[in-house]
Amino acid sequence: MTPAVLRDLVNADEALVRRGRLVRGTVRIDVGGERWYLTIEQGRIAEAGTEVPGGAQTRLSLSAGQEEWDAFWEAEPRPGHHDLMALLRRRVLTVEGDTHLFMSHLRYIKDVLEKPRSVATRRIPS
Amino acid sequence: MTAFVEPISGRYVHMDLPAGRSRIYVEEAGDGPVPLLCLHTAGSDSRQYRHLLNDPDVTSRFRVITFDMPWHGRSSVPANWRDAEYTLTSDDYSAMVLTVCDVLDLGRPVVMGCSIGGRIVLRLAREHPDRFRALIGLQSGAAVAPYYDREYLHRPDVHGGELSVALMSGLVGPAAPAQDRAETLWHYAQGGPGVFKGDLHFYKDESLDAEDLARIDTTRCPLYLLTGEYDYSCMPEDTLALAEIIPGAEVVIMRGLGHFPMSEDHAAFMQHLGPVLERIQAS
Repeated sequence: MTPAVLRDLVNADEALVRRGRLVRGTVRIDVGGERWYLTIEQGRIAEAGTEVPGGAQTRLSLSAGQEEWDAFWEAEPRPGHHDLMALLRRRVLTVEGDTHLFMSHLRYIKDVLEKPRSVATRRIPS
Repeated sequence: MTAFVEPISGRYVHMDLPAGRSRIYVEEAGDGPVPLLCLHTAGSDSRQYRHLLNDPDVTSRFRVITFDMPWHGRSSVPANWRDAEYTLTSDDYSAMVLTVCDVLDLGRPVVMGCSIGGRIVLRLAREHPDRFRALIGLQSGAAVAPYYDREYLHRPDVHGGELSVALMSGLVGPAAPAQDRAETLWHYAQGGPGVFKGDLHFYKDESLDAEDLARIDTTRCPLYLLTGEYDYSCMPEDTLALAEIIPGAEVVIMRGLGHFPMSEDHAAFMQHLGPVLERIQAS
């Protein structure tokens, strides 16, 4: 998964963009040691990359290890790996910055970050 | 098109609860010889048990009863709800369940509660084992450490219904039928301001003491604990920890299910609840 692919997946979902229409600002996702910057404008991801966007301050950051995001982005994630709140409950996700933005738009943020599952390879049951 | 009328009847029952005279909405179905009183989760209401009330395999053997707690569903609120801060306490909740049993003349019923309801059955098991034929805790745990700021659930600049749905959405098992997932979350969307938060006071601030739990006597009242594996509020290990403490408590971890088994996927739930009900009936 890359920030650009995530951007395209989110922007292609009109209902999700509509639900996030009051969200704006830069959100940073720490995927292990890599930092993704998503600049959101009215629910649409205007910019996505690993470089700090010019002039933009990060409003909110979500940080977890690479292995946690890998498990979270499986097509059918295992229990405890299937929801941002589950990661918080297991103390493997850190949310910092504008927590009001996070809580008031929680469903939008959860849905944005679950988007990679839609293009993940499904495991064949053994 | 043919109409279908569900066999559920609803009525309002006025009773004295610790918080005062209350108008409580009660639903029931079935004419089985054993009353089965069902307790809904925090921030929701008795509609969570709609499938159980409609299942003839259950209602032929049990009289299934459920009610909306005060402030929830169709039950009334106090006149000062605008200015009062609703807070559910263990004492009030326990007294409420006992009062409902008395007012409805249920004798020695089975009580099944989910989440906060799964927590209160532990207290009922400890303090009133002879009043119940059996107790069933769904998603039962002794305590939940806070993992988000509950204040966000009740403030004018955050939509409590939207936030409640967002918090609960991951607690529904991934294979739940779409209609039941939607219905389960809609109940949360419809909760009154501050009600979910007030229920969570009981769930998160009033944990049960291990020494007290160890004194539960399951020979006087059988205790069954059923927990869905996708529940991260009460995780399976939380329920398994209870079974380590409570002698004789029986645990079932329900594969594929989440925090709302009776509401999110009745068919899958009955695979686990069915054998428990058979054992209770035979006891």
